[in-house]
Amino acid sequence: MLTYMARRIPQMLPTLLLASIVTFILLRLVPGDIADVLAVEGGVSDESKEVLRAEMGFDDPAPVQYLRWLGHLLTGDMGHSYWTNLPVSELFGHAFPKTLQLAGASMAVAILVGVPLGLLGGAFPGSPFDYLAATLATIMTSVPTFAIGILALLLFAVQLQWVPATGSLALPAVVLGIDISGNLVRTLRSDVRAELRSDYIRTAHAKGLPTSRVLGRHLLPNALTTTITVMGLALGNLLGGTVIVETVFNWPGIGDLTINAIRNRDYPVVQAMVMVMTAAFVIANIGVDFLYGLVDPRVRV
Amino acid sequence: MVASATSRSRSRVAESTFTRSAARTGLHTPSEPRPPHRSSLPKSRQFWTGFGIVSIAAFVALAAPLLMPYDPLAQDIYRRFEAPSLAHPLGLDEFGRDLLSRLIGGARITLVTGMMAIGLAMPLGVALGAWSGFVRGWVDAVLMRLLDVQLAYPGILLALVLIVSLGPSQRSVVIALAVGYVPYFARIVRAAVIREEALEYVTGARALGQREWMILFRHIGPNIAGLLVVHGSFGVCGAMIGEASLSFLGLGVNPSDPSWGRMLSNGTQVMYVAQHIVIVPVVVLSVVTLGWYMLGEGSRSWLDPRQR
Repeated sequence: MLTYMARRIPQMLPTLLLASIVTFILLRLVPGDIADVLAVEGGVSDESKEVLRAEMGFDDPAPVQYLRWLGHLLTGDMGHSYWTNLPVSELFGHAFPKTLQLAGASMAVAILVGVPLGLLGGAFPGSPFDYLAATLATIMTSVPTFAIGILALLLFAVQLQWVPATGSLALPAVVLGIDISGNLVRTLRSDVRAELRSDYIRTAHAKGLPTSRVLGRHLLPNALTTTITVMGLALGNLLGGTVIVETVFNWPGIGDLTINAIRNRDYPVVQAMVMVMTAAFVIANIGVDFLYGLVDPRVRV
Repeated sequence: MVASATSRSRSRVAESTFTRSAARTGLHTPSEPRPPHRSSLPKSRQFWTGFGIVSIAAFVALAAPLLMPYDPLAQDIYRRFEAPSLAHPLGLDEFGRDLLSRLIGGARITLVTGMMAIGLAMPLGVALGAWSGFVRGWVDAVLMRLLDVQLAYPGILLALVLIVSLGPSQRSVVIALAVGYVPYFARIVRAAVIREEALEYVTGARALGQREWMILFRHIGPNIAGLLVVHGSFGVCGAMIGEASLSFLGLGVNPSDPSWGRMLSNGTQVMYVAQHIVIVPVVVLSVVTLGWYMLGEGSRSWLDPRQR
């Protein structure tokens, strides 16, 4: 595993580098910088604005600024927030555990709902499971997650008052989990149906194995490969924070940190969080490739 | 997706699912019985449900100025949060604005933004994808590398940063969403062109001495046109979700424009006071995105020759 990781991780560097350059260029195109924002908010004079810009290195050419930022990043320094002057690593340290918590809980919900439903829906065409699986997959793909989140808030926080509108893990985890399970169900259901026609399944039935064993031991491991990709990519997205769901539920994770930084023109934070999200996605991809080898020995990593 | 988002929340949200299902189009078995000819009308209930929803929404968006009973921006601060009544069938919002008028006006923003974004992204993406898939070589290598980066880059952030730099307006949202959807179409068309090029009819046309561009336009083109109808519908579904998400975050269209996403974010803030303000836009947005999705799924089984 270690040698595999050692080989794969350098491959993600060009992607990260390009992503950081794109972000850097886009942020420089934004009209008005932090000095302007502060001038409006706090009545900073024009001279102080110039001093501020010089202090922050805005007077240097853009490539110089970029390389300076990159150099700091390589030594583990993500910079300081323009807004609070706290180190970005500290803000990240506060937000990441929250995002991790939400990601873990959502994945658990997604697997608990998605895998049984996908398996049963695929194995028994025309059954209520099949119908439920198809409906869930369609609705979760086409209806915005935040719309479902708002409906859940209306029902459970406002009407029934089972949970508080903010700070509760249960509601965002269930909403995100069900949303991801839509993808899992869609993939697993069609893969299970394809595997159902294989010879080894007929053999397993023919030698008199109970259906539960045929499905659980013989069919599921073979049908899971694509689903593992879907799960891995979903986890990669979740670890990068989910901007909308975190906003709807006021969950102080990475997504919430990033959207506030965008609103405040707090570029060091935005720039660092883009790196975090991109890295999470790329690492999830590598992890998926690795898992393939474990599940399916035919695939060599 | 955009789950791409969403997925990577919404705009990307849906994306991963769509790209995936695109890749498997050839393998997908529809549950509906297949119609015998391409020329016959689709029999699937899913298609017609989607078609109905989308037509109604498009009509409302087109005729919005005639249909709105009140000015969607006119405030009546003394009657804020008023419940639905005969004069105001959906009630009034937190500034005393007529919700029905805002909902109708919002169709113009959300639906039209979604359709314009796809209308801009699709031709560009198709051209890039066809070029890359047909000519291959270094163009293809460079493009694929860029698309990989785009896939890893958090989609909603790209859109947010683009909108901040262009300034919040409907035009910026259209551009930001289109930028996100060009790779989506490029990927699909590239894969389809490569798949078709390996088939006998292309080899046959080559053997007959057809010119290369004729092969692309006259032979391969018609065979992948159906794919564009399907993914165009999915794309509008995703782009509408994208617009609503961006406006929900407060970085979408102009703050005064009655986007459905904006109505949702305002409505959520006052949902402990009055729930009718948030519930109607949430349901309408969901139904219309569902409609586009069903239109796409439904036409998939009708248009794709491999499905029969």
